Amino acid sequence: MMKYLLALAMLSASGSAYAACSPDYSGITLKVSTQNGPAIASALQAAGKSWEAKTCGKVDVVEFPFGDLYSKFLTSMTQQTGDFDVLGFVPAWVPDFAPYLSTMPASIQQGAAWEDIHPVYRERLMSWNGEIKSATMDGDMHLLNYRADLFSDAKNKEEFKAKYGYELDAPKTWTQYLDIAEFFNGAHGSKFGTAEAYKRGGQQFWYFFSHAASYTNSPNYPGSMFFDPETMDAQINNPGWLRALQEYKKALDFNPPGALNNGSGDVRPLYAGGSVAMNLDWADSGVLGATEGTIKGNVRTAVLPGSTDIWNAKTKAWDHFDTPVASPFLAFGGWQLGVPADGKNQEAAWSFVAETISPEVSGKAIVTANSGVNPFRLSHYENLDNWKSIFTPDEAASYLGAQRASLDSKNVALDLRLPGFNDYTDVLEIELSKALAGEAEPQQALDTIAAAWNKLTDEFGRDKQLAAYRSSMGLPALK
Amino acid sequence: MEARNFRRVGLGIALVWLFFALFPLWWVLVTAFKPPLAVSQGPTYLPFVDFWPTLQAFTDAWSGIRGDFGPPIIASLLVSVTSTALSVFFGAMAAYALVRFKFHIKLLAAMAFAILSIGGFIVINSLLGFAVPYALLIVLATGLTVSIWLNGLPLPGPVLGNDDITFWFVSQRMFPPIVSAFALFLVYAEMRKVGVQLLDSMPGLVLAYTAFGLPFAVWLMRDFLQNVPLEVEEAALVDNIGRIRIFFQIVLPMSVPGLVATSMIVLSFIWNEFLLALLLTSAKWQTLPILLAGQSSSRGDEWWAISVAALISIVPMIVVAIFLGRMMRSGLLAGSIK
Repeated sequence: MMKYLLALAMLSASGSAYAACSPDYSGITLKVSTQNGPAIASALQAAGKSWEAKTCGKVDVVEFPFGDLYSKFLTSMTQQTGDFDVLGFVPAWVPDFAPYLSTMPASIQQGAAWEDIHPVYRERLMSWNGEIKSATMDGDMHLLNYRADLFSDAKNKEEFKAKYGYELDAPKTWTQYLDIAEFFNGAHGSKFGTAEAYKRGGQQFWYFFSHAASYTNSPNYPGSMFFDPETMDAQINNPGWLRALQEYKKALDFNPPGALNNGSGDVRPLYAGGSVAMNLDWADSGVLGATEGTIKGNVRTAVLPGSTDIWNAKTKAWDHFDTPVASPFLAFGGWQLGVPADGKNQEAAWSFVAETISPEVSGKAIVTANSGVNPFRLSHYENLDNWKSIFTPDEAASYLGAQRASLDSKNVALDLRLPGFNDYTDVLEIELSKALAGEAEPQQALDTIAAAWNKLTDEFGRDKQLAAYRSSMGLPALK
Repeated sequence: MEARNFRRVGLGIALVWLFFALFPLWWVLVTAFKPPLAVSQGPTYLPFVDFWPTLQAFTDAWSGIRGDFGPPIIASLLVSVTSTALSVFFGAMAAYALVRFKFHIKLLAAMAFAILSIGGFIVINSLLGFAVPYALLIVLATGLTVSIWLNGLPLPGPVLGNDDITFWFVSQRMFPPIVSAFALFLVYAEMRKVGVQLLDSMPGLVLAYTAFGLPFAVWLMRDFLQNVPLEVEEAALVDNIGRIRIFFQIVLPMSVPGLVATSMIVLSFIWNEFLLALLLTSAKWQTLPILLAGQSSSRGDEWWAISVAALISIVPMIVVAIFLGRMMRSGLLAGSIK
């Protein structure tokens, strides 16, 4: 009897060991690299623990400064050093990385978990030249955050309507945005009107892009926000971009003093600490405001303002619309995971990627403080109960509703993704900073950027860049 | 009366200078104890008065969510101390040779070395198909042998002396670091292909940093060794004591203050070096400057975290500076010549 029981116990133990390693990656240590934590790195560590428990493999998360990540990854892949099994990077780098990345296995590109990823990420940002080279692990877009206590205050509403002639609510256009910022600047319960990032190196250009999307992402000439999708001529000096720059600069009047030195890291606590009535930011501001801020319970989020006039790069004229067209800008586009083609453990690496982006693991990451992971799955937006620990029901509905509405918007604007992305944005930042500081006229600065962009396009190869740009904008190749 | 006024003015200038010197340290110290919201609410400097201090940034740092500080601290200590010791040791030897012996390097022989190295590499690597590390080894050994042989011949043209050689050492640090750093990365990457693991390894980093520190060490030690009295060495030579013994048993003990000062300078350069560490490491041997730079993430500059990381990274250097400072003072007293 004892022998029988012992044998049963051993069988049970071996069975559970087998179940604990499915698939079995014992002896494999994956080197997963991304920016220094906590954002993203901590989410990868948490996913690593989950993957280790299932597969008996090991995950070693290697972190590098964000500013050096691009060059570190690219040199590693071009020199085939085999340093990393999984890379965590931003979609803008995919054009440069794609030749060195393996393609996602077909087994991951099917089933309910695959279909659950929002189509904008699944079909557009994860795809490059028709192949899935990366997997979104974090959804990102610019949003407008505002304070419910100020916006719903009866006296504020009354005074606002008396002064501007329309109801105080989340702004639908950038003109309204500037009106509201002016209204709350040093008055009506707020120290300052709004907060945006203007600092060179502080992600300023994404804020500028968010303004510009509303005036340049023409639904009548798709894909023409940054370049003409037929000629690859830079569009950044057209009247739509000029208007965006003028308004972006005008908003400085309603930002706290010294805003030219504010990066996105400063914009967040200004809102969460209750110093401003609104801000533009990724989804982080909402979470910070609801958890650590002084505005708990009053966090509200809206789709970015739009416009009734959008510049058409084809006709070289403004197209007018009866109601404001929202062109929510997917700034940054969220963090993605890729597997280098020179990696020795590609099967295990893709298994780790699948685990990280799975509904279960990512569902926890999006509600974990400082994980840096924002919703990107349909189920993330639908499961309001998941957000109870962070938001009130009203806050959660507003926060998730604005993100889902942005992604579902017919005229959603994708971020720039092009070989040499850093070269294009380097020159942009230099000239943009000059215009913001008053050292150059806006049109002059934009003309300089356009000339530099055209030169870069010629240097990289106009045909090659045109093909890449069309692919990034979801347009078919030119015949 | 006039002297007193001068003293007061001097004291005033010194106090202003002290303020400028200490203020950044105070700012870093205070910011490390601020909650994130307090950093963006305008300038505040007095804990418990301007803001309520918190240990959250320290807790975050030690919990590992902002990167694991333990391994980089150990890596930085091991790599920088070893590299500094090797740099100063070899630097002192080179400097001694430059002070006590006269070198004559014929420019043509030096040029022959350069031509043989570059041309030979192209031939051996591109035409004969040798792997980069083997090709480098062959051309460097051949080039050196041939140039030493050529230097012994009565070649025409300029002859380089000790000052030229010293300047050549220092010139290694004059061009932008990326020039040598990326080349070194490529060589290390090629070495890996033939089975020699220098990337992300202590030997690889020590080798690079020893080369990085040598020019400083040679330059500084040359000045210190010039002040060692020649008479002492001559007396030893009369007693038939060999050069090596003279160097180790007479010259080095008399140069302790110089060795310590050189070590401090070289150590601080290596401790804070970023570019080589970034290119040559990946997982195991990441050093502190990489972790420090990483505190500024894609989410912006998180100053509270940057301040904590800065404090952590300067503490070991302060300890070493105090220790070496004491050694330098005792060395000055012990090494004084009567």
